[in-house]
Amino acid sequence: MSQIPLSVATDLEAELPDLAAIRREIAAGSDHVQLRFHRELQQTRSMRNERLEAPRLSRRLGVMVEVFQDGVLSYAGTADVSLSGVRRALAEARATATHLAPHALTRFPPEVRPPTRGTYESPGMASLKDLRARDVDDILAAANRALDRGGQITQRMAVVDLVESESWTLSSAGDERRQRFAFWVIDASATAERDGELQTRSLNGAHARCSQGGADTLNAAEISAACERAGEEALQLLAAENCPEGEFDLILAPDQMLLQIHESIGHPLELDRILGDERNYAGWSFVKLEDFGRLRYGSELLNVSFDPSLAREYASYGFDDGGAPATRELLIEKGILQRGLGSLESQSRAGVPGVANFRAASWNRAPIDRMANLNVEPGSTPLDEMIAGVDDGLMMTANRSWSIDDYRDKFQFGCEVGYRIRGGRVTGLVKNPNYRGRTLDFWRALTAVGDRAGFAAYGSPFCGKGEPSQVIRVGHASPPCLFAKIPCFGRGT
Amino acid sequence: MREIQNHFRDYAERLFAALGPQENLILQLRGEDSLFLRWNRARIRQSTQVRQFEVNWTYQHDGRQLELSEQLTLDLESDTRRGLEQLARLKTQAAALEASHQLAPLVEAESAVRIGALPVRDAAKIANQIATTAEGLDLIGFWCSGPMVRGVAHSKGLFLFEARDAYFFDYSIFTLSDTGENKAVKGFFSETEWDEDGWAERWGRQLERQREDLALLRRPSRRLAPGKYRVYLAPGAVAALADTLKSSFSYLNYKHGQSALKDFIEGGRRFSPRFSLTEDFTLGFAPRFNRFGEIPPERLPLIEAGAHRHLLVSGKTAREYGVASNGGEEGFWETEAPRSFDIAAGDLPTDQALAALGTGLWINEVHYTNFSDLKTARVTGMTRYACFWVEDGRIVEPIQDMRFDVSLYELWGDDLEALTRERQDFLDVGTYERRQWAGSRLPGILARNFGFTL
Repeated sequence: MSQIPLSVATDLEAELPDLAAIRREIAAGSDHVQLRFHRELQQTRSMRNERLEAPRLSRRLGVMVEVFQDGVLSYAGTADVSLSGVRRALAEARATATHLAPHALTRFPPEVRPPTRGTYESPGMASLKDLRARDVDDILAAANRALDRGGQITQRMAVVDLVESESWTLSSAGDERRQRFAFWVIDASATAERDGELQTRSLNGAHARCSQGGADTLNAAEISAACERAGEEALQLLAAENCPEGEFDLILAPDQMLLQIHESIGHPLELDRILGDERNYAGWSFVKLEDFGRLRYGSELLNVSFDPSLAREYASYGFDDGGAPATRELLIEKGILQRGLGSLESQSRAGVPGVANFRAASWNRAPIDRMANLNVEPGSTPLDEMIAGVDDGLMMTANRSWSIDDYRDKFQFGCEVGYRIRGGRVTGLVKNPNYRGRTLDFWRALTAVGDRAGFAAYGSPFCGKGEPSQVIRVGHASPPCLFAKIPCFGRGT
Repeated sequence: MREIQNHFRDYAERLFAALGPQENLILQLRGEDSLFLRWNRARIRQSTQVRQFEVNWTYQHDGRQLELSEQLTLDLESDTRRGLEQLARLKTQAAALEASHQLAPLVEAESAVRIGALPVRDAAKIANQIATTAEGLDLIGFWCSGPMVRGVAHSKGLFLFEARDAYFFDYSIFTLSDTGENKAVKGFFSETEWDEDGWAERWGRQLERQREDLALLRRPSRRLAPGKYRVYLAPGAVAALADTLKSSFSYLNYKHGQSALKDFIEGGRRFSPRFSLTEDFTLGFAPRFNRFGEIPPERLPLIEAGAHRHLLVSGKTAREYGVASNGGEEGFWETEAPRSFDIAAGDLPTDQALAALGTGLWINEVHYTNFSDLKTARVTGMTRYACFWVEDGRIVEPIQDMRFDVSLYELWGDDLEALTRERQDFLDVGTYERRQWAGSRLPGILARNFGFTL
C-alpha cells in the first residue's frame, strides 16, 4: 500500500478513441451540436473507531449530447462514448428536438451558446502525484486518535473523499473547453454519549470542509488539531445547558453562514426558480423579476458575490456548461439586490442580468441554473470586537439541521454547538442550538460583518435541485456575521 | 432488456473467470433507459434521454474488501477490458489491506430472472397528450418513463435480474387567489400497465377534479397564529414525514448514533398502539433482493402496534456487529432504509375525515422536512400546496403556509387519534443520479397538538 499512488486519473483522450471521427460527425450536421464528455474518478477512504472501512472507487464516464435546432434544445446522454454510442444519442436528441418543438416553452437565440475555447485547472493538481493512499490512511488514523478524548466518546469517524473530474466540451461550431478539477471533502466527527444524552461534533458540520486543491489540501497537523477540538466539545456538550429560548443577538460562524447564504440567498436568487421551472419540486421564490435593482435584501453591510474565480473554493471553474466564461459578479451590493443567479438561457427569458452558472451534475444530466461560489464579502469588524459588542447573545457554529419553505422565506436552522455570550465575552457552551426567521427580516438585521481575517470558505457536495434531480458542488465563503434579535431555542420548543 | 441481461451475465462470467481461489466478487447492476420531460406552464422546458447502466463491485481477497463502481458501455469487449484493468488494480490494493470487519456475504439463493412488459412509447404523442389535456392550466410537471433494471451476480454462482417498465407524471397546478397569492395543488399520475390512449383520458378526469380544489384555493387565505392545532395529515403529508424517518430504521445508523429512534429501540419510547409500519415486499414496490443478493423476508414489521420489532440489517452490517442480516438495502446515504413499506390502515373512512377533524387544519402536503432534534424525533418542515382551515367539518378557506416543529413520538403517539381506512400508494419519484425503485402505501392521519412555530 505504501507505494500505491492515490491519484487514479489518466489521460481522458485515451478513453475516447473515436474522438476524431466524432468531431467529423457533429461538424457534418446542419444544427448546432454540443458534446460534453465528463469523467469523474471518486475515491473515498474512511476510518471509524480506528478501523479502516472498505476503500471505495467510482468511475463515471459518459457524454451528454445537446442538440440546438430552431431555438429548441434537446439532450441525450450515454455512457457509450464510442462513435456508435454518440451517433445513437445524437439521433435520439435530434428526434426529440424535432418532435417536441411544437410544445417548447421557449425558443432560444443562438447567443445562449457563446463561442468559447479555453481551459481551467484546479490549483495544485500536479502535486496529486506525490500522494500515496497510505498518506490518507495515516491522516485518518491520526484523526481518529485525536477525536478520542475519553470513554464517553462512543463513535469516531474520519473520511477523505477525492474526486478527480474532467469535463471536455466540443461543439459543431468548433468550441472546445477542457476543465480539470480536484475536489476534496474532509470530514471527521466524534459522538459522545452519557445517560441517554448523545452529542456529535464534527469539524465544520457534515461534509462542509470542501475545497479544490492539490496534495497540500491534506494538512495533517491542522486536521488533527481540529479533531481534538471536536472531541473535546462533544464531551463538553454532554454537560452543557440547553440553548436558551428567546430573542438574542446571534453571531453565525462561517461554517453556518455557509448554510444561511445557501438557503436564503442562493436558492431564492436562481432565475430558473423565479421563472417557475422548479415549482413542482424545489419550489418558487419570494423574489420577483421586478425586484432586481430595487429590493432591499439586507442591511447596508450586506455584499454578496458570485465568485467562481476564488482559488481553492469548492465551486470555482472557468466556464459554465453552456460556454459562458465564469466571472466574479456582485449580486447584492450594500444590501440592494442587483443580479440573479441565472444562465444565458434564463437571462434571455427573464431580461435581468445573471451569471455563468449553467451547470450539470454529471454527463447524465442537462445543465440548469445552479449556485457555484456564493460568498458574503468581508466587512471590517474583527470577531473579538463583534463578541465584545454583544451583551446578551449566542454564537452558533457547524450546521446540523436545515429547513426552509418553497418560497425561501420561513426557515429554521440548527447547529452542533452554541456559545453563550454575556457582557461581551463567551461564557460557555450550550447544546442543541436552533434559530428561525424570515429571510428579508433576517438579512436586514445584519449589524456587523467580520473582517478578512475571519473570512473562511466551506461548501457542500450535495446541493439538490432539478427534475431529473441533480446534486452539485457549491462553495460558500464568509466572515462571521452578527444579527440582531433573532429567535433562538433549544430542544423541545 | 434481454440484451442487458445477457450483457451483465457475460460481463460477470468473464470477470469471475479471472479470479483466483482466494478471491470473490459480488456485482450489483442498476440501470435505466429513461425519457425525462420537464414542463412549465403546460409547455416543455427541457427534454432529456438517459441511458445508463452501472455496476457496483464488492471485491474480496482473502478476507479483505474493496468497493468499486463502473459504468457499462454495453460493448462487451470494451467493458470486459475495463473490468479486468480494474480487477488488477483492486488485487494490488487488497494485498496491502487488513482483513475487513465488514465482509459482505456471498449468499446462497436461487437464481431468478423477472422481466415485465416493456412497452415502447411515442414521446411526441405523450407530449401532445399532456399539452392538450393541460390546455389553459398553469401546469408544471415532470414526466418520467422507460425501463429500469436491477441485478446481482456473484462468483459463487448467484444471478438475479429484474427489469420493469415504469412511468409517472408528477405535477403541480398553480393559480392566483382572489387576493393575489400563489396557490397550487399537487398531482401524480401513474398506472402499472401502459395504456397509450387511455392514460391521458383518465388523467384528464383527475385534472377536472383538481380544478375544483383550485377554486377553493382562490378564496382569501387565513393567517394562523403559531400554536398547537388539530390536523388531518393527508397521505401525501404522511409520506414526507415517513420519508424523514426512513434512515432511522437502519441498524448501522442506530449503532452510529444517527437514528432518531434510539430511545424507541431501547425501550424508552413507544408509538400509539394504532401505529404499525412494515417493510412489505408483497406490495411490489421494489425488487426483493439487496446489493449482495440477499433476499429479505416478504414482510418484516419494523413497528408493530406502537412497539419496536426490527431494524433493517444488511449482510455487511450484520458481519460488522455480529447480528443476523435481514437483507436490508442501503439507501442513498449508504445506510439501510425501507424500500417497500406501509403504515397500517385504521378505521376512519377517508370520506369522514373532514367531519372527524371538526375544526382544524387539513394538510395535504408538507415540504422540506428535516430533524430539528434527533433524540426526540422532532421534525420541522413547512405546509405546502392545498392546505385548508376547516370548521365543523367544512372547508372554510386555504391557509398561508406555516412552519411546524413536532415530535414524531407525540404525533404518532399520544396525539394520534385515527388513521384512515383507505391508503394511497406512493412511487418513489426520486431521480438523484438514477431513478429510484421504491414505494410506500400510506393512510391519512388525524392528530391533535400539531405545533406551528412561524
